Amino acid sequence: MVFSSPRFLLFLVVTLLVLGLLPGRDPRKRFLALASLFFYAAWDWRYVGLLLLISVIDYYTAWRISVSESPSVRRRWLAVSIVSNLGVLGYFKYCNFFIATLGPLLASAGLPIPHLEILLPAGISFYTFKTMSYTIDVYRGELAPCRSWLDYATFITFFPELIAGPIVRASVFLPQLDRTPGPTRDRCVQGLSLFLMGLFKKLVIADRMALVVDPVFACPAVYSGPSLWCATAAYTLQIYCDFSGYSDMAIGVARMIGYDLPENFNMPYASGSLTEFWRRWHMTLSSWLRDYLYIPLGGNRHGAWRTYRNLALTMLLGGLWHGASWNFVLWGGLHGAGLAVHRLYRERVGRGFALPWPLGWALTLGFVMVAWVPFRAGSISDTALCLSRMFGLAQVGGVTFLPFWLPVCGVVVIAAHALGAGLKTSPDRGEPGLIERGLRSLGMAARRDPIAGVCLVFDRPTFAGGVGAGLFLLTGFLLAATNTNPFIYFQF
Amino acid sequence: MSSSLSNRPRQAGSPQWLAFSLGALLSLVATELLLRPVFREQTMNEAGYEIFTPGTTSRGFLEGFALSRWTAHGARGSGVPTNGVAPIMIVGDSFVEARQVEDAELISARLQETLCSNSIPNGVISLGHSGDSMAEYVRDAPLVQGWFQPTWTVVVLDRGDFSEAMDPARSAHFVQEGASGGELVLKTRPPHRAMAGRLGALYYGLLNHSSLCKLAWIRTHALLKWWKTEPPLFNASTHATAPKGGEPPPRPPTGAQLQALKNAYHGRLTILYRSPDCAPGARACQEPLDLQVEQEARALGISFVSLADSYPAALARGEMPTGFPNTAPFVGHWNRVGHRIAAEAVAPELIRLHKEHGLF
Repeated sequence: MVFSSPRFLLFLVVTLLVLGLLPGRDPRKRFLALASLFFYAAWDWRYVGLLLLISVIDYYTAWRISVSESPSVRRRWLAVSIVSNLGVLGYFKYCNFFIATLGPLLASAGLPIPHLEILLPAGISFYTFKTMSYTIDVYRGELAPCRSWLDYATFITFFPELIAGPIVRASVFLPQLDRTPGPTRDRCVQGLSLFLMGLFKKLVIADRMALVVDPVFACPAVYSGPSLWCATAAYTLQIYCDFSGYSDMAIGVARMIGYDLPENFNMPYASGSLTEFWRRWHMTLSSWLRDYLYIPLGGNRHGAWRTYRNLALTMLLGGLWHGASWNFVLWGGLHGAGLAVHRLYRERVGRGFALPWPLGWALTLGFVMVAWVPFRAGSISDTALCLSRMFGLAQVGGVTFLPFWLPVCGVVVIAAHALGAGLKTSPDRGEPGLIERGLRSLGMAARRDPIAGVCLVFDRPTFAGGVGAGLFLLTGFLLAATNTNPFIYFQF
Repeated sequence: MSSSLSNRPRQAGSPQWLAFSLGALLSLVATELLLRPVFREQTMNEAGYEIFTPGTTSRGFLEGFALSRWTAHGARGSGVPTNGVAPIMIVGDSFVEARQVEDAELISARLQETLCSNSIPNGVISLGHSGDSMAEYVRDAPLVQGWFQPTWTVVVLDRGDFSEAMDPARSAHFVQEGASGGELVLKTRPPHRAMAGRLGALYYGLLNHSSLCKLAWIRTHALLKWWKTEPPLFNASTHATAPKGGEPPPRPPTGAQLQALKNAYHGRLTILYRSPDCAPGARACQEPLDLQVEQEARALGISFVSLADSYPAALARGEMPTGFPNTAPFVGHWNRVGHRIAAEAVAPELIRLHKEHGLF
């Protein structure tokens, strides 16, 4: 069930009604777990068992880790958890990638391996990372093990973020299970505001940009350099609005149900450097990679070159997490190299000379945009073709297609970034600033949440708010693209 | 962080909600005014079919931004030429209706220019109607020939027209009597009669006088169509990867349909065939049905022009015959390039007919 489908909306309404009617937390938790399993089964019922198996393994291993005093035994149980999770992920996601990569070598050695018919379970990359972080946190002593398997299963299967994140940590989610009041009117209003904003981003911007991006990247040899630049810019908008729109909807749905999920995007395209970009883009993944990969590798504690190596390795693996393809490895490698170069510049070359923000912003955005080419292109050869045409290195010619909605959507995203930046950087003067006064006249308010960060929510009905809400809904209705596009991150 | 950030919605009273509702109403009015140029007035012609009201204009919005002008009987552009020479008529579906391009960029306008420069004085009329297919062209032939008295007709077809013409749900369709190879009979139903009376007046009143209602109508249809594409519950992945099984659909009786078309226009027609479409890649290849249609048309002595070679040639020149800046490349209807390419393809055939047979 895609969040933007009427089937999901019906499911959500029924879930909210039942959760609102059920007395007590335990019945609500049980129903939530069942509803989440139904949500997952709605995609493919065959993988519900895998999801439950993973949750049983990690619940058990974490419990064994917590009751053991012996470091070696604790390590062994941690290894069981990590090997199980990575084994499942490796089999379903990377098996064919390695067969395709090593196949010719093995075939020449007389060991042909056939391509396997494996269907990738939805959300596997997200829920295996969730479960691994749980056992690692218990192993490190940073988290007490969950006392009830039902609670743990509710955490693993929580439907708003099951398929594509945000990757919520057990330490953030589990305490909420014992204190959530269930759906309330205020939470429903806040959640609905977020959900509608996410829906707008997805249907009006991301899916409209997909209309341009998909045909161009499906057959890049036909198009000219300017068309490829436009498609790359369109993809830059599409992937942000698709994924952050999904995250907004997930956070909104969770809030309606009574839970808070962490912020996943914080105006990433307003970043003044690549390091800053990764603090703002897919924040739950980048913090996961930092805490469970980069720091255990040594982080920045063993000298400059080890730091650069750790950065590059973390980003390479982060790229591979996105998909079993050399394109994702290249994308991760580019970002790893970019982060290392930025760190080198900051610590060695540019010490005492910070780039002016506009220059840093332009360089960062340009780099991020170009790096999306391997992420989106179908193959390494398509990537090379696109980049050579974009930079004028290949034969000139091809169809030129300049999309009308690209600058319009670009302006909307830039304005939203500027609004967000204005809200977050406005000084605490006791008096509301210009942006806050404008928002207040529209009946909106910026809600500060310790987990979800700052988000805009409906506050009270006003005349200007009625005009704004009407125009917002009408724009969404009239301009929503009606091409069927699942969320991009569903494939990961 | 500013202290004004609130954590709880405030309680609102009825006056505030009234103000909110008035604001929402104002947004509706503003949107209506903004969409006014897209205004599309439609009416019924004497045969009971929906056409754009003669004398009105409409502005494209969903595909291109062109301004289109409608003249007598729902014809497009400058209308029936008044130079006393019988016109050439182009009949087709939404590709000929062509709300996506300006009047001067239509296939008819381009064709008229080319014919004129070759000393052929006949005017060219575009008479397209969105959604029509082979059965409608046959059904409407006596009517439109009565209106315009054309000396020659160009019928724009694609492969879908032949199977659509056999669809019993359409108001005009063919039925093959007896077993395969039996006689083809045209069945028609009175169109849009259910919309007559008060309901019809309300329907046309809303759609003709409110651009917002018109677009809302179009959008609702598009959204409903999109929602129907959802995969089956509990089985989405299998559904997505399963090969399309089952029996292939029966091949429509193309020869008999072409014969019916030839009879309807008294043999004075050229078929402009626009399949396969112009998208780059695998789709740009001819299917057996396309070759069959061409062979059968030629066997029946029907003048036949295909765009199968024109599209790849345009692509090689870096031209895109379909697609608009506000939609996507290589999808939807002909753009100005597509109309020009179609006119360039059909003009030599008409000039040949004129020179060899003195038809016009």
